Amino acid sequence: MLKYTKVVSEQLGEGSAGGMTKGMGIPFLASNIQFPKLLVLVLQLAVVIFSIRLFNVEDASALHIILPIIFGGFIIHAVLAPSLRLPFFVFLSLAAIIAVFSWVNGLWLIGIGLGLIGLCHLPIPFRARVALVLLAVAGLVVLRGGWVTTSWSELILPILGAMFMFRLVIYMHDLRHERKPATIWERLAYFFLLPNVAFPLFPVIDYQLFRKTYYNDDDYKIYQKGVLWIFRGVTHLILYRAVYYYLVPTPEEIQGLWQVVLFIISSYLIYLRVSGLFHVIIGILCLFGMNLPETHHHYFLAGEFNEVWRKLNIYWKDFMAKVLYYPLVMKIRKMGMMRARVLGTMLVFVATWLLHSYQWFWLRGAFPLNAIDGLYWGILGMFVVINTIKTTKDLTPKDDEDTGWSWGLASRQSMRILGMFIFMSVLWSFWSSHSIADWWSVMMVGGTASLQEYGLLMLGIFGIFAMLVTHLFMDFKGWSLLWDENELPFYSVALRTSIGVLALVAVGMPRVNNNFGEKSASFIASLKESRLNDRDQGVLERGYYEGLIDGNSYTSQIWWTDKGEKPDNWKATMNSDAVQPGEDVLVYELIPSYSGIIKDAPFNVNEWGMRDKSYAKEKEPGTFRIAFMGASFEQGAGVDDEEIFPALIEQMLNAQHAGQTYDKYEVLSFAVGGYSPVQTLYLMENRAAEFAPDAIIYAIHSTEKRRLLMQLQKLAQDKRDVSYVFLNDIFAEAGVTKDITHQEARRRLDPFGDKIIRTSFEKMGEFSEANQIPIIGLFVPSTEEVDGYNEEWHPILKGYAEESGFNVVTLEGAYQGVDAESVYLAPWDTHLNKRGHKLIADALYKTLVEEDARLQLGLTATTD
Amino acid sequence: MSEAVTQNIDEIKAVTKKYLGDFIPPKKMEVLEDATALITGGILDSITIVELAASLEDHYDIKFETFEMSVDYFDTLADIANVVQEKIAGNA
Repeated sequence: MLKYTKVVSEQLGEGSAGGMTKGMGIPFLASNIQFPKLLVLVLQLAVVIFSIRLFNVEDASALHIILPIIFGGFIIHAVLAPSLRLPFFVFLSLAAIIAVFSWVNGLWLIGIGLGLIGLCHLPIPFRARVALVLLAVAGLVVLRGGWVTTSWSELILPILGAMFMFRLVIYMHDLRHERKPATIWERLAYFFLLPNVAFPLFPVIDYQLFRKTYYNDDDYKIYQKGVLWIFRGVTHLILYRAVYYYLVPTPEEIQGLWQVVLFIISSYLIYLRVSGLFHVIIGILCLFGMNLPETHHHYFLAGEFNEVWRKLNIYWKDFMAKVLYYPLVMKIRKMGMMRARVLGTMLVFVATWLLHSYQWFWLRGAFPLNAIDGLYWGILGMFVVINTIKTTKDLTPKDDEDTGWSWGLASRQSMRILGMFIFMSVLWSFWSSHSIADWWSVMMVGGTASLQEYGLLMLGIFGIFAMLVTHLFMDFKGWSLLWDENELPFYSVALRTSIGVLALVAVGMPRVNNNFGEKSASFIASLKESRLNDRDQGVLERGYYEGLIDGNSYTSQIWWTDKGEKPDNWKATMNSDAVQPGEDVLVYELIPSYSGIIKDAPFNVNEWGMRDKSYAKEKEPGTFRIAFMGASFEQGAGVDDEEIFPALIEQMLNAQHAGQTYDKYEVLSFAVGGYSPVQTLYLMENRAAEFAPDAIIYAIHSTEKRRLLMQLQKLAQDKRDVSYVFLNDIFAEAGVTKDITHQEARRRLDPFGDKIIRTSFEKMGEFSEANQIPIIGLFVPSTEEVDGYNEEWHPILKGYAEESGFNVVTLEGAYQGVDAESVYLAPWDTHLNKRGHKLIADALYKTLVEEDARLQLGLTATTD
Repeated sequence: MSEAVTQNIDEIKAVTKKYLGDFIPPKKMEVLEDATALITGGILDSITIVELAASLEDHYDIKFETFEMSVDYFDTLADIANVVQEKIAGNA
């Protein structure tokens, strides 16, 4: 490791007269500015930032707000006199807080932070200071737990927690033993680290390490490392998206060995997100002279449990060693070093489990201590302990070079790496699962594979093994693709970084990637999206309908996206007091004449069980009656009764067309949240028919199958006798019983999903033909489809609708390019708000008028 | 004055280096200098720091505080030798 000999105190302004140096005779400027290197760095940083914007990296975070501050701040900071750099960094960090949180909330964060730091320095005994800090933290716990609410606490506490709740422990630990007192700027900089405002999940940076590594190498080398690491982090985050969108299967849909393998491997690969974020964070800090070491190191190539533990989150391991492992081991080592090590390691893993929940509390306000987490840390800890016992018997290290090269050695090492990767993937898949039973049911799917499939799997594993051996051989020959930036000169690292980032930008540019073919271009475009994958979308939807949200899982993307805190009274209709058990295939139905508040808006049900105003069953002469079928989007809980789009359509039709072909129009909404095609079919045949509609509008969504599986699982597991023979046959064939998990039940029903939707549509078509009531199959885009319908499900469902004789209507462009979030009902609820309902109503009305000749609603014939 | 106090810094470095040899690969030992960063350079980790501290405690009959097993006191051979020397002197 190269050690730069510059005196750190000079950087802190203690070595130069008046704390100020002159650059080129100009006050406040550094004396050693190297403009060619600075220019190279600025250009690279600009392209890296462009790549972040191009790929919308972390666009759900405040990173994009602080990018200009980082870029401009870096240039100014680099040319400033060393004595001014830390104060400037502190002001830059505070400015970033204000930029992200605005003045009021930002000042609250800064004020509370300064207060906490101040408590650490009160002129009272140390124990009293610790007690006061604990008291202050307890006050913040009360706020974070939601026991007392303020206008600012919910917004700033996750970031405040990330800044202070671990660093305070280290700071107090180190404060008593500072060899050289820190400056006020060092102390402030340590807590208000610039990128922290954008990243609530932040590496636990050691205070001594932070001070020790500040400009401990050549300035420009540190900056270059920063640019490289940000770039590396960006590539990790883009790779993460590729894994997250394309490799993570939905557990309910796992049907074969390959999907089980994907489930296992992708569970571990999605850790790329954390390593990506931490690379970006440390990279940004390097731009300001904080030459912090890496947070992760080739963790997928670890060959032992200890190595995994050491490489997976280096800062966390060091934090645990400092505050727990050393004190305990050194205290009890008289009982035998081996015992001390084992006890110390065990304690570290128990503490890690608890402290992850503590960290989670500050991030999300909940303190989850579930069995899966405990088992995960327990199993990993147990193997690390075993590994510790084994390795400490022989601590004598060996050089790779000393062992020379042999195929045997390389094979053994490759087997170790491969074995560790598989083990960690399996363990991680366990950690990612909702329950042990769910995880086991997925594993069991793999047990049904054929010998041929197992053979192919072994072949695949051998292929990876061969690649690892090749990698070790190249490493031995000095041809490794993995290089250490610390060992290379500035311009060499700059060149490699530039090539990498320019290649990334080129690949991301549509003008370039369109030449790779439509599929490749579409794949790259998808990597620029920030959304939930099918698994998490399903989890979110299930959680919404069933209250089984998995957002409190570290391995889920949901909590990254779900920034709002859902109030306890925010319930889906099916979980509210507006429903009662339903008949036949209706698991539940709206209570007639119910009146109440759901999702903070009035929710009134008429005497017939519709969320609508009262209608007479008998239709008045001259009335054109439309039965509107659908699910939660159409039912519109959370929006006033008169402002949901079926009601708006009725108002528009009457305002523009009443008294022309027909005296008036009635749109009766039979939509119920959570209903699938099976429930809609039943309602159509048994409820809507009684109202003698002249037309039916059936709103169809790309998520029909997800809702269908949820409803079928409930029907099948309740062993309910339903009137549709085709459904009873399928329940029997799928073998769904009460004693299997919901996930397993849905997996068994999954292969029948398409068939049930198709059959339901066909039966609707038969109903339409028999009763001479045309059905409009209306494809309503969800808020996840603001840029276009789901490419997988929309064509399939549209095909079924057309085959069943529906008059298909799509509402392409209904949202007119608005941001999805602007039509969300709430940050935690992606159903339509009032604006969204109006947009859909406008688009639908326009389409009905334009296509009246086909849809036969009698609109255009009389409008001219 | 006890014999321990007379331990000069070079002797302490030599002893420390001997123990470091138990944890550091030979090639890295060959280029190990007084100022080589052991912790910040990723050469020593949590297990080996404890082992080294325990060995030095036993050898010199001294006791480290846990806060000393950190980058401020254990990052280089020179740092370690200084702490050890201070402790030997303190014991005298």
